[in-house]
Amino acid sequence: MIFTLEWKPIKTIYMGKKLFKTVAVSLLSVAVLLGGYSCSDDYPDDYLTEAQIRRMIEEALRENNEQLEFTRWEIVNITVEKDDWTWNDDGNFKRFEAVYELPELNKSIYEDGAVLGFIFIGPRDVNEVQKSLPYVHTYGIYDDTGNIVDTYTETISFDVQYKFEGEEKPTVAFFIQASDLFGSEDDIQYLEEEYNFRIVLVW
Amino acid sequence: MNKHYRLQKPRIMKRKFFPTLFAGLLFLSIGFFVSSCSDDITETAWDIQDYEVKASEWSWNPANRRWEVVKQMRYIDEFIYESGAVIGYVFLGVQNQDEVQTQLPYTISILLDDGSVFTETVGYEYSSLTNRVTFYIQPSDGIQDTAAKVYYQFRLVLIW
Repeated sequence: MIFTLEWKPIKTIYMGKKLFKTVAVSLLSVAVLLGGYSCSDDYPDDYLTEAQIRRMIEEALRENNEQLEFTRWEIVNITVEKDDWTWNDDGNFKRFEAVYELPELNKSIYEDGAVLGFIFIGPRDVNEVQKSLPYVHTYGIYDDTGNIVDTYTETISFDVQYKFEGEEKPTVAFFIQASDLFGSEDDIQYLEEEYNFRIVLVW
Repeated sequence: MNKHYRLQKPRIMKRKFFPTLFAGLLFLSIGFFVSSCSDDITETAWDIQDYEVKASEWSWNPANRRWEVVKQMRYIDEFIYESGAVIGYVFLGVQNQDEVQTQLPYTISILLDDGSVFTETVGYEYSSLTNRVTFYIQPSDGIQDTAAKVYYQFRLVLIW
């Protein structure tokens, strides 16, 4: 009993003090925070926002990139419509051609870089695949009964030109040629509605 | 009472010690995490190699039925061979006039005077064991025609 009587008030007083301290500290903190927040500018001088830090990092990376000269890429997508093909009957060529300006190609890429060509085959989102150029495919020629009587190979390719007759005129040309050189201007009707090419310039 | 204080004191110290320890461990773990995630920046390496092949350099390989020329590569190693890229190009036409550059293999179908047609394929293959590149001209009909032996200028782009 003596022990209980002695300790109970002490414990109560102690807990009360602790609670008071906690409440006081909390209120003080809230007051300081509210006061500080209401008085301060949005971003004082010694405070960096996330955007500012991000900008600083980007600037540092940009400066580093200038010194390190990272490998660079440029992707050029070109769609050749059916009517864009022209038949070249000159000499041995006998092929369909489509020529486009390629301003992204410069002397540095032409001589010290890489130009890669790709073609998309098949309907997009169905069974489309991407093939590296030249794309070579052999087709069968069938008789009325469905038997193969002959074959021919079609090659779809490309080349790039930087200068023409001494003048800087960067272009890319696409070609469709059959191995038997069969064809004429009228055969344009047998071409696909469009051919989708992708040119990757790396330097 | 002394006994009472002796019991209280270590308890208070433990409470103060834990946040410090926790904060320390948190900083350490963040430090380890950040350092483990950051990779060293590896710059992509390049090597451009130009090769000229004179008409007289082509020799007929009867086994492969094609014209070949073997050149020592300026540089190639096993890493480039297995984990890099070697891209070949050939220049066609006259420089600064109508020159074009096309990726190898280059295939062209040719109509002969007798009306027959064959396809010529100009390609390349390379080895990191011999450090050599082989350029070839292969006719689809396998006929050894010296007219195929002409001057070519090739360009290899090595990226790794």
